[in-house]
Amino acid sequence: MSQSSEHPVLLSQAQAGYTYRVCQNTCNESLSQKLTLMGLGMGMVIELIALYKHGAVVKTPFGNIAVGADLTRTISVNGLKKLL
Amino acid sequence: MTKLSKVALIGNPNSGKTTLFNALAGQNKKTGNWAGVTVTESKAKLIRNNTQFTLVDLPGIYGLSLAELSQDELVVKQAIDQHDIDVYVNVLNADNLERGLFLTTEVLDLDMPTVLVLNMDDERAASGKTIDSNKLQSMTGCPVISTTAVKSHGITALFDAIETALKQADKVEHKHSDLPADIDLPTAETRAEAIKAYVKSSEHVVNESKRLFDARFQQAIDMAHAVTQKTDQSRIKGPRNQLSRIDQWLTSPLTGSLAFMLVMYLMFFFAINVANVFIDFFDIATGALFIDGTKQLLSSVNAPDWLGVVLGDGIGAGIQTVSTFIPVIGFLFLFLTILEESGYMVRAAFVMNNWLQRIGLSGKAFVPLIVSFGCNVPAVMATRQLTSRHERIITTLMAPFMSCGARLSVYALFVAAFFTEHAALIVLSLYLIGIAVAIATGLLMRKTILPGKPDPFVIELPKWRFPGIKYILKSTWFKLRGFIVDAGKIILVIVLILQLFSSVGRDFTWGNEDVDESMLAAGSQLATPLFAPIGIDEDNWPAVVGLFTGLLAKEVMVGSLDAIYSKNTGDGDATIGEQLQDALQSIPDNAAGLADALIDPLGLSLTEIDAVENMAENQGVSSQLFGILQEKFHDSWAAYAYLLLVLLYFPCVTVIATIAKETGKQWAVFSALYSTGIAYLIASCFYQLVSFNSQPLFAGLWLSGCALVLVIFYQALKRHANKPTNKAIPLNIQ
Repeated sequence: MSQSSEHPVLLSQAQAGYTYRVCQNTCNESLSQKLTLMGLGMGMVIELIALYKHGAVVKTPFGNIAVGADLTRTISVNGLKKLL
Repeated sequence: MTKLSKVALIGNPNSGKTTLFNALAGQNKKTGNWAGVTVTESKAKLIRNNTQFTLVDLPGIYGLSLAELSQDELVVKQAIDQHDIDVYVNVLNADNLERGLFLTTEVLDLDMPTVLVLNMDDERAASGKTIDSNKLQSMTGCPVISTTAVKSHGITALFDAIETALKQADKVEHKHSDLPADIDLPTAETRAEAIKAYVKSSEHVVNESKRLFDARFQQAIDMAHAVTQKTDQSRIKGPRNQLSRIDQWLTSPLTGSLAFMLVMYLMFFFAINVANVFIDFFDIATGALFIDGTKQLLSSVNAPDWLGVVLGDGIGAGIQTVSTFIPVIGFLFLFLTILEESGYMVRAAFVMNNWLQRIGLSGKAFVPLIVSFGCNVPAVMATRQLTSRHERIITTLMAPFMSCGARLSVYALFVAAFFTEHAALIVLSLYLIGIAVAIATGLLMRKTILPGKPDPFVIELPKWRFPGIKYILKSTWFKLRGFIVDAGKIILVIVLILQLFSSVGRDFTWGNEDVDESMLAAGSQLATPLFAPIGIDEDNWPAVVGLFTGLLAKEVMVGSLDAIYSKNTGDGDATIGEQLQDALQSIPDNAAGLADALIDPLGLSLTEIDAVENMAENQGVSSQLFGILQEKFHDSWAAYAYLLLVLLYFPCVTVIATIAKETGKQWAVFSALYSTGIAYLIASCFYQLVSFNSQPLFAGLWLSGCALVLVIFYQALKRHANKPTNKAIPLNIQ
């Protein structure tokens, strides 16, 4: 089963269990750099493992990270595919 | 004098630098499975094969060129900028090279001898990856060593590589990262300086920095992919899936919060109920050896009586008091070590992020707050990982209200004397009140003098790890040993001083047997009326002495109270051999009672009248002390009010000194006054409420007065916050 979407959505509105590509973030430069080094940089493919009101658990190319709800509302992703 | 060479461990957070430092230097610095355990640099002098050097463990850092660094990351930058490091040992997580190599490219640009360490090699092997070390060596121009620091694997090879690097300091041939073709670097001593000069002279500093960052990052990824091969995925799928399911439970709001409460409860169960099994053993055995044994030995050589009093009743009793903490503090440290090393702390921090955000803090502040349950000093230090200045100060002000391990020994004493029926519940209530006051403090500060938004929460979820029973026990032992030695030194001195002052009478005569007529009594009785609203009567002045000695360290309180309230002696009728036998027998006897605690861990069903006597025996101070405590505190409400004061007032001089060092003297003074004021208000209001019927007029006036004080304090903070000149109190960064 797979779906795809070209429309970017905020990470806070994405669905757990799908893979996405990070397409935009509205953080400041310093935070953006840190996110990149943690695997949430532009163009990186991530898997949304779990999404809660208080944040999300994301599998990035560099390992799993936990992101607070404040950040999930600043990161946009697209290209949605259900994990097998 | 020849200057020692300096070797620095540098790497990403949670790459195992401190574990490697401990393995190389034979030390026992605090480790843990989360990013940000080390917040300050540690040093050790090492000698090997005629080569001497100072090994420096630096805090973790993701990149040297990042636009904004936290306080612990600034420590790394400052260490590099001093230009006195001779060899860099760049520690990488072998299971996650992609992330670590970005920093590596920056370290290579420093043009100093560098050794690359692929640490956590066991985890790399377990995840089915292989790394071509030779290729990495040729791509960077640095020797590459594989280690598993937690098991001390690869340490000899690393020592050899460091020695070689120190000897060949002038032969640095690093392969630097490629930059965009149009960038023409100016001439400089090192590549890092050339890049810095280029960016500085550029018209578009931000854009150029970003271009350099992107180029470096891409190169790090390419390098990682070039040297890493992933094989045999199938054999790791099962356990990983199970772990991710556990992660899902532990990170979801409902199950994660329930799990957190269960973990906290288990911690208290072990630190109180299980520890009780062993307290008698330490109490009886040390009493027999250090009090009775010392006195008998001195008596056999015809030593003067005063020497027996000083060495036996003074130092011996001090040792006995310290020894009774060992089970309680030991189990607390054991539990905290397991939580820290396993990786649970980060999961709990994530779940708590939601709650902490409501008081204006990020989930990252949770780690220092939890560390506070062990000791407030490392907790204040751990706030360095927070980047926001206001958030750091708020967390620092909250930390002392999280009840530390030393306070637990005071609770253990009082619950044994007054609250045998619900011992665990009473202790738990104190911890919860501490947490509630900490939260209230956070809210108050955010709404008044320290406004702002919390740090964005992003943190790596480390893999679950269990470094083995041996490592856990060793780590716990070193923490416990540090606690015993540090506390023991103070307790012995305090007990001796108290003995001295209680022996000198008001008329300055020596050998005063009636302690009520001593200098100590005279001084304390002056201050005792201040504590009358808390339920401390005039004849209960030793409780006030306990509060004063608690300013030095909370663990001193039990020793002080024991020394003043009772003349602690061993069992006069039994021989030392018999006492030691009793000590051993106490373990199975007490363990039998543990079964009841397992079925009813909160002690809700324990209502036997003779339980007081049993608990008195189990607590490791003289049974005489329990009787005196019950006599001096005229009811259990007064005892609970006293415990509230102990929980909340002035943390201890070491914590206040640490706050002064980390945030500045004014915040240290504020913390000391604020905590003591709040403690006094809460403890006195509690006592006045529960004893309202006995003196309604006074209680009513007192409660109204306290409410008024709180309102005035809040308004004063608001007014202070609104003054433009007071909007920013500088943070002292060392």
